[in-house]
Amino acid sequence: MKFDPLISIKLNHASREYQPGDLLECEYQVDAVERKELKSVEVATMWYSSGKGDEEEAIHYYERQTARQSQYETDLRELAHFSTELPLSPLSYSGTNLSITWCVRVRIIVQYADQTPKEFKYSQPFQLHAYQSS
Amino acid sequence: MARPLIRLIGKKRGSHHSVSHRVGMWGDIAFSLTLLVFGILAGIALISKALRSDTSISVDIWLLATVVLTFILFGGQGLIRSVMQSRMGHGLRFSIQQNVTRFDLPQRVRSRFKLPNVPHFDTILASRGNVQKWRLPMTTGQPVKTLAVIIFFSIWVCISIILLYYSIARYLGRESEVQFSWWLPVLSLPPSIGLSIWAGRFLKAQLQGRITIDPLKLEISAQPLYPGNSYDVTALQKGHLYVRSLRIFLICEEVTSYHQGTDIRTETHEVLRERVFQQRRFEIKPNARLNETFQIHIPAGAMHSFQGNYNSLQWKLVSIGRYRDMPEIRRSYALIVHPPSPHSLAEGSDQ
Repeated sequence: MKFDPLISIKLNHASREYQPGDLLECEYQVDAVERKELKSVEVATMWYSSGKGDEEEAIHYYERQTARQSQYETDLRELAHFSTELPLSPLSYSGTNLSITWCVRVRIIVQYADQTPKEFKYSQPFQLHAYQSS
Repeated sequence: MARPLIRLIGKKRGSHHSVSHRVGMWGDIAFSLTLLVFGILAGIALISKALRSDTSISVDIWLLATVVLTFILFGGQGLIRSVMQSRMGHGLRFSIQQNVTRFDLPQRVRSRFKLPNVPHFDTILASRGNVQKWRLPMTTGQPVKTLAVIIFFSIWVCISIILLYYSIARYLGRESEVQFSWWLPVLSLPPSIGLSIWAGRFLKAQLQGRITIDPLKLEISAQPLYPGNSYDVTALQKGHLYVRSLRIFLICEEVTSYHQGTDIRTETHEVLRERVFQQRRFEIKPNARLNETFQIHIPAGAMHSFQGNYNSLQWKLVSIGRYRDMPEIRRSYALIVHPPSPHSLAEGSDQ
């Protein structure tokens, strides 16, 4: 029996609260999967809407790594890191019919032997709050 | 049930389609490209024909040119839209956003990228006010409904006039070029006139109060607005009116659109509704117009204006006026609230 791969995401702010213009630093790692089975890793900083209306999303930062990026095969399971400056808008919002949630999403493509590629993803939400006067 | 690999004809299921997105996209590109190429070729043929003709360009060539131009415009627009909706378009947009500072883009475009999904306040399109700095744009009446009624009324008046002319011509014994029996237009005349009168009355009801009353103008001391700050708003109205009541509300609402089957429904939920102005039983005279200034305050923790494809958060001022011998008139004035910046916070603490 095969277990699903484990995806872990760690953000630099333990409270997961940021302000516009803050530097979001993120470490992510994939585990419980064979090196050869992991075909690609995509990481995105994005927001998505939820609520009564049709869902929409927008990507602020995106990075994709594949197993064969160069002549040497890279191990995509290794601890990876990225950082991005957060935009001024839209801010996180939780309303009655509309919510806006920011998250770091890691999406991996895994291909087990003799099977079609399978997608796994994990999101770590965070809050993008307005500037506060100190 | 196994799904066939390629289905060219598929039933639309809400936002989902039974054909693949890729097939749809390529179909769209192929259709738009065909339309564009056909339009360009037909345009070349038409221009060469027009150049060869010795006499002046006839009406049919102008008519064909209009059709050909429509083909080119629709083809080009469809092609651009299809490409922008594809992965190439997403990549292009993403690349522009990432490299926006490298290109020499104008300030307006730059600021649009700086504040994604927030309506941009355009100082060029906005009107200057007389009392305050900016005049707020009016976003209601129901322009589409009024326009539809005007078109409906105009069509039926035209039909009635044509039928009336034809009936009189037949009655006077003149020959008409139109080849159909005389009784058909004569019998169609009463319902046509009836529809014209009904549409005219409906149009009158729609326009009553909009034409006879000078619209209420609202002017504001600053735009865009920032949470935590207060702004002066001036209400101006001219004319000769007896006002039973005039109320103005500051409203923030969530507007969400969603697919239900093949329909698109829109739902509105008010997050904030605050009465900011009220005056009862007063008269506006030609020499004494309404000129009242009041304050609005955007709460400190309030969400900024947000504009997505299906969801939005809108700030506005809504006026509800009740006048003597007139129906109630409700008008909306759009406000733009930006997320707080260090500059706006400093201004807010000064107030």
